[in-house]
Amino acid sequence: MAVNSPLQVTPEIEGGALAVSAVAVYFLVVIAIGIIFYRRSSSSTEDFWIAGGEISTKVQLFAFVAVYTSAGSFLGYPGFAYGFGAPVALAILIGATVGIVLFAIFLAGPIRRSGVYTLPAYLEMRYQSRYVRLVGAIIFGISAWAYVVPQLVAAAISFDFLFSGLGYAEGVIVTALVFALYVSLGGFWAVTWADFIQGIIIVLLTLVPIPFILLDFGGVGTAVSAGAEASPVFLESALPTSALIGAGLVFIFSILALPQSGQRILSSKDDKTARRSLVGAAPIYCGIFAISIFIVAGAALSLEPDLADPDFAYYLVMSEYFGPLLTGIGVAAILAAIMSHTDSLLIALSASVSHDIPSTLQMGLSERQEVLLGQGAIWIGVVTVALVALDPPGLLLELVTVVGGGIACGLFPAVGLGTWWKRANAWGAIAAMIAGFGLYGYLYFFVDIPAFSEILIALPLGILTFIAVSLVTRRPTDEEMLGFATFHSESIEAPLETTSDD
Amino acid sequence: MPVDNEDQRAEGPIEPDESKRQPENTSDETTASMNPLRTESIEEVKTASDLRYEDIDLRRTAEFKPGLVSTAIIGLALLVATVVPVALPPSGEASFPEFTYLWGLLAIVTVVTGLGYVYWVEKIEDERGASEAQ
Repeated sequence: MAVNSPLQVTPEIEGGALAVSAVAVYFLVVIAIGIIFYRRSSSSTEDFWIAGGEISTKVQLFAFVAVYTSAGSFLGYPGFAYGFGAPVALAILIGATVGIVLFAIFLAGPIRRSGVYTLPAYLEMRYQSRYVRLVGAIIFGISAWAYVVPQLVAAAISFDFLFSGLGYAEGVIVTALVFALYVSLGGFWAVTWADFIQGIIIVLLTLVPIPFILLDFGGVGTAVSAGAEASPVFLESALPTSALIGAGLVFIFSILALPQSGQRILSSKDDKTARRSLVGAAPIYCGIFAISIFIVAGAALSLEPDLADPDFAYYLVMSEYFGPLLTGIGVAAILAAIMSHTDSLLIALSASVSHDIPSTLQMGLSERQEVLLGQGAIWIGVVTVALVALDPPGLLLELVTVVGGGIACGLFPAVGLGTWWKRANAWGAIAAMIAGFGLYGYLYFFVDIPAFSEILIALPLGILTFIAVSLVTRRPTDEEMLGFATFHSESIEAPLETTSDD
Repeated sequence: MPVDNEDQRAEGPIEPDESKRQPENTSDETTASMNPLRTESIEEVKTASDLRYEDIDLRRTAEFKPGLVSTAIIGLALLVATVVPVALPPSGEASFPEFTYLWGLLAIVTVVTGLGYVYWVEKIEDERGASEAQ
């Protein structure tokens, strides 16, 4: 958490009863969604993990926008543009957009056709190996847990601004409680409908400051030019080109392996729904945050070029243009972005702990036991994350990017390439996951290289490991191709004896 | 390998769970089916004993050609967007650097290609569905 220097500015936003009420109403709505869906989500593991696999395109479209929008998007995009230049934020935004579309092309259909509940289970089905699932579940679990930290930090920052009687620590605790309640009670049904509402709020509130700014500055070009005058790096970049490219690549490949992406796909009604909603979400996501990068950050720089923390840029704009009610709704939108990203992560974390790992260890849990264990895992995950969030490291979007890089290097070869390369086998998958994730972590913590460049080394190595180990070990057997054949059901010329699907 | 039988189907969706798997030398009556409660877009899977590695050809899938073309287009755009900013000298007086323009173009190419991909795949799937119905 940034310390306020007397020479740096922290914006003060107008709180008051109206603003607090707006946020309180939002919290009550999401908790109510959790309660409404409690019985349905507890009825089966399919309902708890993937909302029965029945979600339509219209709902999924906004749910995907919400899933991919986190604190790193809402606060981080304008924050990064403010602190490091618009090209840096743009590289990440467009990297994510490319990743979303490539996910739709490469993985949406096969994942949805798999019929499983989690991505680690997908890995087991693909490679016919519970060891692959176990390694995948561990990486997913760690990554999902780490990914929640910056989200909770952002939520607490919002609290710190809005509620004069509460501080950062109280914000961490209250937000953590709300997360844990509606996710553990309502499972993926609650997550889906909360995401749908949150997606709409996010789109609206990203765009709400724009008319105010344009009226004040006299147009788009003026607002952007004002930002450039206030900061020499706004339209250039404070980071080297390799860092920009690395940051963009992190998001391309991490989107392809994000735990919450998989859960969202598996909840779709069918593979057509999965593809359409992803491809539809991409331009919405890209468009609204491109506007935020240039106009919100430009205005923030012009209004105050010396913020204590670049992540305060959106708050600064709120403090300048919003009255109390709109401020409260704006904070609710930030919290919506955070929650929509976090709730799916919590489900993914919970699924790794209570579904994937027990299955690979052959613990023989009943559905009821799995749901209960999953609910417990959500609470434990949230509490431990909250403890870290009380004193977190780094800038929000930096944290998100770092974790995303680890996910990409650890999981993209096995998930992304393995879905389409039939020669890939379990040994290649395990070796790639360990090599990619391990090397990324080693480079990040122990080697001094330019920011976000770790993926440029660890990801190619993970891919090479995947290919090399698969090729030097035996080809998959006919039985081991069953999962692959299911993902690509048209790849077999003449279906033989088939089983009715009802 | 993931397997299914009538008892499991009655209990609910099938998981690729080791504890539920049949022994390796599966009988011909044992069929493998992925989650029978899911939608009609999931094709049934043939018996494990009938599947051969050599029989699997991704070129037959509806997604193959659209995916290949779309990926090539996006890949080319990404290559240009990553190589050109490194190769070109920094801009002089322009208000937006080349990186911003190139990555903006990458975003547009990606979104348009994605929409084209969905349209193409669904067109192929609809044509195949129509010819099967005949």
